[in-house]
Amino acid sequence: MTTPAVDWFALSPTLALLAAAGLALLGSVLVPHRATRVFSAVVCALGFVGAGVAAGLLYWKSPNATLEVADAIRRDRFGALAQIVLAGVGFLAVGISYAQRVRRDHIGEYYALLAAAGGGMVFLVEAQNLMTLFLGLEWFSICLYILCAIEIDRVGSLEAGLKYLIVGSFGSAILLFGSALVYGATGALEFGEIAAAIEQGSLQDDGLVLAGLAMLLAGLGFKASAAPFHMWTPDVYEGAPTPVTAFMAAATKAVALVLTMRILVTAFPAEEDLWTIAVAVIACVSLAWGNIAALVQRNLKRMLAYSSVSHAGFMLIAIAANNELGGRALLYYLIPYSAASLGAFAVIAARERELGDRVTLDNIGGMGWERPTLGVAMWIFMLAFAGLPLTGGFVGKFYVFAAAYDRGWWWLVIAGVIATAISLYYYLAVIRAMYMRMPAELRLAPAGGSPPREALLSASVVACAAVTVGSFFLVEPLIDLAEKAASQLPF
Amino acid sequence: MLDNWLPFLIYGALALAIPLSMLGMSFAFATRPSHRTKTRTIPFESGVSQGPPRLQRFTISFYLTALLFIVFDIEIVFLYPLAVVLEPLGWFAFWELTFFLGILGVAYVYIWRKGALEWR
Repeated sequence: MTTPAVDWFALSPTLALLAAAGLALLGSVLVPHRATRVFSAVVCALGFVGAGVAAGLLYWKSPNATLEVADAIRRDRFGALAQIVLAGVGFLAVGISYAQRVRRDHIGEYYALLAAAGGGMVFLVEAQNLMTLFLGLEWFSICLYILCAIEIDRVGSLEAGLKYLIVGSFGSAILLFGSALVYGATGALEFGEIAAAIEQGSLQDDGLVLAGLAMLLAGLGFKASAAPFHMWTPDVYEGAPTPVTAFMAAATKAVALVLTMRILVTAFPAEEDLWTIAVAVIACVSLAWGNIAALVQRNLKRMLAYSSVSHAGFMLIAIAANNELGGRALLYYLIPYSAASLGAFAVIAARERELGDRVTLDNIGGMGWERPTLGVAMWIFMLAFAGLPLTGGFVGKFYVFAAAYDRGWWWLVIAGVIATAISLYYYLAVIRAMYMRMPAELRLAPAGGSPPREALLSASVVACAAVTVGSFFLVEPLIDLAEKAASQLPF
Repeated sequence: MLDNWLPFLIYGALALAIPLSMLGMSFAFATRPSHRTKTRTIPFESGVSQGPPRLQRFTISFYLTALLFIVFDIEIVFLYPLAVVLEPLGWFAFWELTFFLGILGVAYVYIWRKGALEWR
C-alpha cells in the first residue's frame, strides 16, 4: 500500500486559513467576551495575510506546474495568482465586517466561517480532479450559507440563507451528477486523465461525456451566478449581511470562474468546439439579462447583484475565447473587479449602518457630500464597473475583448460593447444620486451627530479604490504576472 | 449516436417507472373501498406502520444531542477502518488521523464551552 506524498507547501494557503478558522472558533468560547471581536477579527485577518504570503511564495517557487498529493491538486501559478486575489479580498472583507452589528455570541463564529470559506476557496482554485472540485465547492458553500443567515434576528438574512442553501445545493447536485457522468464515461477523476481518456477512446460524441460536461457547466454557472443560473443572486445579495455580500460577490465569482476555465481547458480540450459556443452563449445571456435587469433596480444591492451577473458575462467571454490571451484577461479582470465590487458593497454597508435601512437610489442622495472619501471611492468603483479609463476595469474589458477578437469572434466583442454602453446608464445613476440631487430631495442621515467613523471600513474602501486605480497604472507588471500564470494552462 | 443515448433512455424510463408504479400500486391495492383498512389509508414509509399518533411535544434538546452524536459517531466510523490498515500505512496514517482528530478536538472544545452539552 502506498501513501501519497503531501506537498505541504502547495497546501499552505489553505492550512493558514484553516488554522485561523480553528483559532477564531476557539477564541469565541475561550477568550473573554470583551475581547472576542478584536481577537477573532485579528486572527482571521492574519489568516488571510498568511494565505496571501504563502500564495505569493507559491507563485514565485512554481515556475513549472506539477501535480501534487496523489494528483488531487495542481500546484501552478494560475491557482497561486487566484489565491493571492482571494486572500486580498478576504483581508479587506475583515476590515469591512469589523464594525458590522453581529450578535455578540456570533462574532467569533462569523470570522471563523469567513476564514473557513476562504480556506475552501484557496483550496478549490488548485483543484485538479473531480473529487477535490466538489469537496472545495461544498466546503466554501456551506460556510457561505451560514454566513448569509448569520443575522438571525433579521428575516431578510434568514431568507437569503435559505434561498442560497436550496439553490446552491441544487447547483452542487447538478455539478455532482455531471461529475459522476464524466467519471462513468471516462473512468478518470483527474482532469488531465479525463482529457486523455476522451482522446483515446474517441468519446467526443459520447452521450455521457456531453451530458456530464453540460451539467458541470450548469453547476459552475450557479456558483458564478451567470444567467440563466443567476436567479438566486439578487435575493441573496440583498438579504445577506452587506459585508458577506461583498465577500461573496468578489470571491465566489472569482473562484467559480477560475475553476471553470481550469476544468474546461484541462479536461475537455477535445470538446472545445462545443463548450466555447456554450460559454459564449451563457456570456451573452448574462450580459443581456444582468444589464437590462439592473436598469430598473432602485435598491442598490439588487442593482449591484445584477451588475455582478453581467460581469460574470464579461469574464465568461474570456473563458469562451479559449486562448492564452483569455486566461490572461480573466486573471487580470478579477483584480479590478474584485476590488471594485468589495469597495462598492462596503460603501453601501456604511450607508446602511448610518440609516439603519436598506439603501436605495433615493436615500443614498447627498452621501457624496456628507462622506467625501466614500463618495469619491464610489465614483471610482462605478467607473471601474463601467470600464472607463483610469480604472483597471478599462484594461480588463479591453483584454477580454482582445481575447474574443483573437479567436475571431467579433460578434462577442459587439455584444460586450453594447452591454457596456447600457451599463453606463445605471452606474452613472448611482453617482448622480450621490451628488446631483436637489436639496429638497436629500435625505440626510438621521439627526444625532456625525456618522460613525469606522476607520477600518474607510481604510478598506480606500485600499479597494487604490487597487482599482492602481491596476490601471500598474497594468504591465500585473499582466506580466497573469501571463506567466495563464501560460501554465494547456491551451 | 443513438447508442450513446440509450443508457439515458433506460435510466429515464426507470426513473419514471419506479415512482409511477408506487403511485399506481398504492392506488390499486390500498385505496379501493372494499379493501380499506385503517393502516392502508395512512401515509406510509417503507411499509412500516407509524404506530400511535404522537401528539405530545418533546424538547428540541434531543435534536442537538442527536446532531452531536452523529458528529462524533462519524469519527469512530473513520477510526475503525484506519485501525485495520494502520500497519501498512504507517506514520502517514497516524499523522493524518491526528490532524482529523485535532479538527474534531477544536469542535469538541467549542460545543462544550458553548454549552451545547448542557441539558436545557
